[in-house]
Amino acid sequence: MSVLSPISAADSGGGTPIFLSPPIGCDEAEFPILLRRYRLGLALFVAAIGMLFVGFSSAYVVRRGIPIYDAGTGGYSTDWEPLRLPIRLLLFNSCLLICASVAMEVVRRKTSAFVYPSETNGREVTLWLSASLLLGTAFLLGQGIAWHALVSSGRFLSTGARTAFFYVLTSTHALHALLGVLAVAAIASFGARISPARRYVAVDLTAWYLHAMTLLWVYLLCFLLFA
Amino acid sequence: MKRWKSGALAAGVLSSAIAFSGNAFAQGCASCYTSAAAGGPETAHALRSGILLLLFPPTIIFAGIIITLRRWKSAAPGIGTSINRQRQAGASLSDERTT
Repeated sequence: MSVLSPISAADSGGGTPIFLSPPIGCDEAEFPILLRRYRLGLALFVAAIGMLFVGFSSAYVVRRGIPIYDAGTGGYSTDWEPLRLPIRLLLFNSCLLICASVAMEVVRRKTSAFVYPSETNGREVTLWLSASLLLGTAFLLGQGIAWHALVSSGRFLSTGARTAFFYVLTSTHALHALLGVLAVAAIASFGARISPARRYVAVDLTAWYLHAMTLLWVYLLCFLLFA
Repeated sequence: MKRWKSGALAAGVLSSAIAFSGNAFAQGCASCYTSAAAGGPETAHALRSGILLLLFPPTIIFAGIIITLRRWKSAAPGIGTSINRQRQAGASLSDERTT
């Protein structure tokens, strides 16, 4: 059975088909192999993001430990200011991101690569997808509130190295998380109009990407709180 | 056998490189070496921590990717790929034409 044929407007529930060419030129037997290749591509992308944050972490550790020459006293001192983080808000944001990731995992497990969701559990899948989208957006808004709280308490990017590192690490992570949230939004918007196989690949890769972003955030939070 | 030989060769090259290498002295950059040496023990400790942090996670990440790739390759070397199927389809089609 060829599962990856082009879809028609009738198949897609009356909407305008947007991808008419055969998305992935293979059949059921080859689908797992191709999915594995897509996952490998994602793994390399996530590895590159991981390397970026490893670089930031290394710079953080070196900057924290290196004494700076103080022209006033003529000696060396460690210029690493104390920083009170909005810990409760950050923990709440972490819960939101973890829940978004879990919701996306449910979507991944309920999505079939061979059947349109509208024929089986479409409503359920849409609900979980919307939940993931809402929770991911709430996480990003929560991060914005955390930055606002820091700015309100007089902690700016130029206040000191530690504050600057907090802004850089969290905003870089938020940008990458935004990519995942946009992918969830794209699936929610266009998912019903593409073939089941293509939809499954999109859902699978987005779910794994969100899991990676969640793990990265947990690492960053522990690093910022305890390192 | 071939894999064993290439592994032994890689191990030999790596161990000779380690055994016969001299001190690196901050890769020969005089400015880096001077500033690192002038910082004192605290700076040395911070730099060592930073280098270790830069060393281990990438090694683990890329070792994981390479191991996964090798496992995939040994599990199904080229079986079921689109190109192979197209080749098979082409071969059967040509057989039909000739017969």
